[in-house]
Amino acid sequence: MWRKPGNSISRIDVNLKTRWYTLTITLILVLGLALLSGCAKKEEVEKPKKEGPVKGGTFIHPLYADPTSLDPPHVQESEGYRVAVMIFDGLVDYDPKTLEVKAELAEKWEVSDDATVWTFKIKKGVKFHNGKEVKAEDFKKCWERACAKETASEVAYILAPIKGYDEMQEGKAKELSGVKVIDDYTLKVTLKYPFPEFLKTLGHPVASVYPVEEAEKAVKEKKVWETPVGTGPFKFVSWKHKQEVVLERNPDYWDKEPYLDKIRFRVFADENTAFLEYKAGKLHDAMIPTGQYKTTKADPKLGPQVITGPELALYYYGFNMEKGIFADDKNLRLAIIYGTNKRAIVDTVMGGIPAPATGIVPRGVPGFKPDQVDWDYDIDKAKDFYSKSSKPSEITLTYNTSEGHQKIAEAAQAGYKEAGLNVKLVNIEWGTYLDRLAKGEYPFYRLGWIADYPSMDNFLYPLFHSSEKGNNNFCFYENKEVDKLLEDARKETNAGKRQEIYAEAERKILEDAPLVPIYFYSYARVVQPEVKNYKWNGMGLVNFDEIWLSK
Amino acid sequence: MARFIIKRLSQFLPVIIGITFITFMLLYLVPGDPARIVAGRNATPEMLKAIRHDLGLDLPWYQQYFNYLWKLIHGDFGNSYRFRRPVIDILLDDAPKTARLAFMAIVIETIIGILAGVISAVKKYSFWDTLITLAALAGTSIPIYWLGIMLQYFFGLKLGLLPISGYGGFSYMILPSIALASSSTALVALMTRSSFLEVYQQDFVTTARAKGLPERRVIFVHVLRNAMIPVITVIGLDLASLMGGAILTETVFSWPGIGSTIFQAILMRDVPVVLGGTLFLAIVFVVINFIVDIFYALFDPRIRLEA
Repeated sequence: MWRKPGNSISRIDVNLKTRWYTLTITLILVLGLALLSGCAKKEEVEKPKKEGPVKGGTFIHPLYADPTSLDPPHVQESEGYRVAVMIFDGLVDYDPKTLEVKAELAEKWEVSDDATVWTFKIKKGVKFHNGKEVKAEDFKKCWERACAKETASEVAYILAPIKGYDEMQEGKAKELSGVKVIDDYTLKVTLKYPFPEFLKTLGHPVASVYPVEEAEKAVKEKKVWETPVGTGPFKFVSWKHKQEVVLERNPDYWDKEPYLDKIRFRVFADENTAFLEYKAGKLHDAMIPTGQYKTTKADPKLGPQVITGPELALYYYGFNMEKGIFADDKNLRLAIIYGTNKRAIVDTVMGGIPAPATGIVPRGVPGFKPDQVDWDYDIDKAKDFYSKSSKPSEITLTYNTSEGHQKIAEAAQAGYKEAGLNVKLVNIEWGTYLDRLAKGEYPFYRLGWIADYPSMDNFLYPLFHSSEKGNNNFCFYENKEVDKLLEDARKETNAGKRQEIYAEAERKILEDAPLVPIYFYSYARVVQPEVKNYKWNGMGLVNFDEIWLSK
Repeated sequence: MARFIIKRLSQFLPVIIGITFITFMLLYLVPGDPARIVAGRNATPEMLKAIRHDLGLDLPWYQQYFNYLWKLIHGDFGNSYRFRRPVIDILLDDAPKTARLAFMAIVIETIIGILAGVISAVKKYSFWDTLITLAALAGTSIPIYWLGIMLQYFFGLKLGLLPISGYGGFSYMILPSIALASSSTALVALMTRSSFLEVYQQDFVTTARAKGLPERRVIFVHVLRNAMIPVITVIGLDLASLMGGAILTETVFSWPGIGSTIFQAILMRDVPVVLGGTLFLAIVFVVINFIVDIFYALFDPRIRLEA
């Protein structure tokens, strides 16, 4: 049974009290928020107020995942790479603009005529952040640690051309037989085979130098080395997992001292959040989230802050050339190739940021040849090739589970449908996907390839040499002629001639149509106006050591 | 009471062992080679072999499982395949952060939810009741992700009052905990309302009034206390699931909690992290359920904690 609560007098009493409560709570909330906003504003990026190159300031840069490691043999993804190259130096580095190799800790080098023996003179007086001087022996120890079986490095393969690598990986040797210390400042490296591009591989963090004893001690005690010490322009300060990595200027840097006092790498789990933080002035640069490129470019404030350029990476759909419906059916492969609407994928799904692929080696890689193939979307050609093929009633495209890959696959599927091709989409989670891909279980699949180092070899040899079948060559592609060209290129010491050989190999591979190159990656970022001399290169690296902040 | 606690604790061990076994077998049976994921695409066969050996993946499954249990008994959760860090470090890093957020969300949903539910029930069919019911409906139907972005946009970007994202002091917790608590607050309010109305009509309430007790005492002591049982269940279960980390909230606000860690670990087949994380969550669930049971007895003396 219902009964009215209280009499009228007490109700007024309650109402008055309620109002007071409400008012008090509102006041507390408003005051609290005002106080908090004061705290929040302190976080804003520091803006020094001078013209021209000026020292000082903290650069706040977003990372889109916590680095898996900052220990050189375990630096394996772009986020960790970007931080590591500021802490560590190697014998050589890449020019931020051209991506050509330039000397870093190597004073000079000599190479034998057959490109198998490399002798490096190391700069004298270079010191680690802990004050110890860098000697040739340090390089040898670091490389040996990377190649050792116990280290189980994810990126040791970069050093695979060095003689003795296999023995180290198998645990049969404790030293790299191909690396000899001649004196404190001379290092002689012998390779298993002639490899003129060897120099380029040495720009990777896995080949950088650090006091190996510090790393070994940390790994022994704590399983991981999370207080890295190198010779780089910035010194490690702190790493709060999934939050931020902080580096500070190395005042004793052997080269030109950086302008920035500090770099704060803030970790984000979502690119949209980072973009909002950028808009609020809490980040100095950020990636433009997929789908927001056009609106950002058109925005009167953000538009002028947009920068774009090529990244050394290829997105492609591959065919299995050894088994399945595509193996002996070039017409079917060509039907798919002409039925792939690259332009629609780039424009509608990718917001116009990347460029439709015109070959395997992306633009930006030294030696890149434009228009290796002219495989534009052509419904008539697709239909024609399909009619000449074995005409399977259904084709399955497999890709690893991800919203982005799904959108691309759906756009491709729509294009195939118009060309009369019935393509079914199947997505599989990454772990399983990679495993089954290596076993050659997918006749038609998605993959991407991001350069380990800026070289044509890195795009052609691992993906198409027959010795890499089931390893990186997931097309299971084999062509003796191509194998020979790729091997010959590795022996050619003249850069120009070498690039010609690679270009020819690329053409030959494309003639066999083992893949649909879809697009070459591009970056699209925004950079605050007070950031000067900012360069983002095709390897996804930033020249933090040359940037300054002004206003 | 003591017997009750002992009995519950003795059920604890089989639950934990069962969970490790099921999780381990599921991860083991699903195709896909963790070494492949760790090594990445460019791995050479030698590297894969080295990594498999390093992670102990070249052993038969039962040996891998017993090795895991053996280490677990010694307090060793193993190391993450991907980050190489000890799993216990990762969990100890993340769990308190998740707990902070979960606790804040629970405080919001308990205070606002119960208060709104009581107001709505006492002022049945009034303007306030309609408003609260509508707000509750919105709370349950608005996706957390969207609400999170809207909160960031208005309070972070437009008004500049609160931090947009990141981990830090109290100010950093406000927006994510509001987003996180939104649907549960609504649920608690609706639950309180219906439970309250049910109790409100019972004879002992009439008796209390007949004895001349003030209305406030009738509502807060007699009715509310009896109406709390289903509400406590909801809040308790919610706390347990919030401790599992709210993946969406953590992602949108870049809150470094346990949810996103376990989620990523599942995707990357980081077996030790998934096992450790699942085990941790299982313990949290068991403990919270246990506490909820004790709370039942506190709120309703008719419930006895018997073994």
